[in-house]
Amino acid sequence: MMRFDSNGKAGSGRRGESLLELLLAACLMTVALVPLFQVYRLSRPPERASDMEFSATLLARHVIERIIALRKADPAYLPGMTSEEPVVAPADGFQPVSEHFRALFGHENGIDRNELPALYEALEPFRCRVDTYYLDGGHYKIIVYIEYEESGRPKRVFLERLLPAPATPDLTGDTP
Amino acid sequence: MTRRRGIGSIEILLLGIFLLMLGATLVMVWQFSRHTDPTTLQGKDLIGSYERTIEALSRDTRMAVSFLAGREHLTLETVASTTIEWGFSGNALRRTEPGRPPEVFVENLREGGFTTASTTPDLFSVWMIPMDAGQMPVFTSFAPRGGGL
Repeated sequence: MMRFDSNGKAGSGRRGESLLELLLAACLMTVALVPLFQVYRLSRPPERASDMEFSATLLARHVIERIIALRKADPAYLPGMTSEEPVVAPADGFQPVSEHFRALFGHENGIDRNELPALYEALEPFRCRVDTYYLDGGHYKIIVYIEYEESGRPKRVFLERLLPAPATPDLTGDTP
Repeated sequence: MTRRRGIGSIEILLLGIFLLMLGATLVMVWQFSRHTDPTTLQGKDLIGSYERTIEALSRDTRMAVSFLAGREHLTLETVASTTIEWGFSGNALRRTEPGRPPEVFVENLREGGFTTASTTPDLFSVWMIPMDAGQMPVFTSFAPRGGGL
């Protein structure tokens, strides 16, 4: 059968495709791009944390490690829930420093503005909150949130730790 | 006889798809080869150095049964009765382990040190302030685990 191309010339062996066929092919191509994009995303190196996020993670780590150290000294110790509190004494002095950041560097309020100004300024934007829950199976869950603002948006980093709850007296047994 | 009209050919489209997939495959191979070796990222920036330090300190404290923290020196006694030393000197943080050469973890530090609090004798904190005022200081703490969790 003789074919005509779009210019009406016969026998060239090339033929034009209809718009519908091209659209169908484009659709297939789009679908084919989805797994390609996924593989591209998986192969991408992990995004580096921002300076603030990294610092917040280290502060959360400090709190978790402090709780572990206190548990080591006193196995019955369990941290309480706290509201958002600054990690260094604020300039206005209204809010108390988080208990997890007190007594550092030999100061009651922790990191001192006059002694380590660079460290103080770096940690000033961060606030610490601790949530705790009793879980089934005699566990106690601690979630440490470090909150801060970056590019005008509130952000937070959290770390969790599961601790065995202190042994409670068995009230179900026989009374002597 | 059929007369067909169109705006392109399927061969050109297939060629386009092939080139696109080839390009994507090359980008993937390049990306994989770039980050399969984690050491290539280490030490290239300050956060990388900090991360490497935190990992090494975590490893050491996990195996430590006791510690002695001074202003610029930290000595960790491990469960295997070896002594690991960390110290700030010459604007750098170094780790020394018996039988191995000292290893520099962070350089270009203006200040840095270890500290403990009277309320938490089983905890030591480390802090570092880089020379470049635009770079981020860090502060975190570690509790020796004595080989446990």
